[in-house]
Amino acid sequence: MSEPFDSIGFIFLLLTGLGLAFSRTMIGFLFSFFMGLVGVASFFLYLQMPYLAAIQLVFYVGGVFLLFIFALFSTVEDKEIPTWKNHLLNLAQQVRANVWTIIFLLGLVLFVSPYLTLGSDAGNSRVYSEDIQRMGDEFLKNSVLSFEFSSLILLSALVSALFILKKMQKSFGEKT
Amino acid sequence: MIWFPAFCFFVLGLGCLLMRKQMFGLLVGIEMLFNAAHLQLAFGQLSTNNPNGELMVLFGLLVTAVEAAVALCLMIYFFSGLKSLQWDRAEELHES
Repeated sequence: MSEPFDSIGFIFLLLTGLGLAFSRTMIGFLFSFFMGLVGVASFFLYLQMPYLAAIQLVFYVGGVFLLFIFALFSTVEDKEIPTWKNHLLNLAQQVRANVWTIIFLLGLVLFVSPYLTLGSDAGNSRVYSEDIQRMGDEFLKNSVLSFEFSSLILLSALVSALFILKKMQKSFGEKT
Repeated sequence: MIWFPAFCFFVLGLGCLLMRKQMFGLLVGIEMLFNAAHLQLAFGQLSTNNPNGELMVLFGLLVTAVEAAVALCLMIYFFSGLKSLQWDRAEELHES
């Protein structure tokens, strides 16, 4: 196996670091986080764990990141009256967002193309299917009890959080 | 040097936790720390050659998904009470 510096994930890692350090808007900050998640998925691909990479993309990029975006749009603070200065600032933000989008699309192309090459390799595909079968066996035979127990704990955590939130909202509504 | 990406993600997450004042920054920092742990578990599997690393990563993904859902739920409540996401104002929510 080659060094991890050869992986495309390091480009995502570098962009994530720069974005987290220098982004001034929250949407840019979250977009940097998004690139970090894709970078982790590409590192999983580098380690020849495509199942984990797919789960990472579906769970994080498809689920958790959308939750972040939803929460961001639900917590937008009141804005000031628009002025020419604000218009220029908005224009600068739009330009910056477009640059980030172009970088993301270029990264996506670079990220997807080596994966297609890996998928066309018959030997690697056979190894991947064996790995997935082995993980399925582990899930359903050796670790089934622990994962059922953990799923119950996670479900109870979700339900209790919703219950607490509803109770707090009720008390907050009575005060106001 | 195979541990280096996990170390980078750990440093980024720690920086987010220490530098950011908004709750989004804290949550993103925690998620980055979780991702560093996942990468380290996946790298550790290479040396031991058993599937426990991948299973732990899958379990960690479930935990972080639930953690993000609960934290974002509480964050929206925090914002509805204070109209702000600065975590150092959490005491005001307790007083009100």
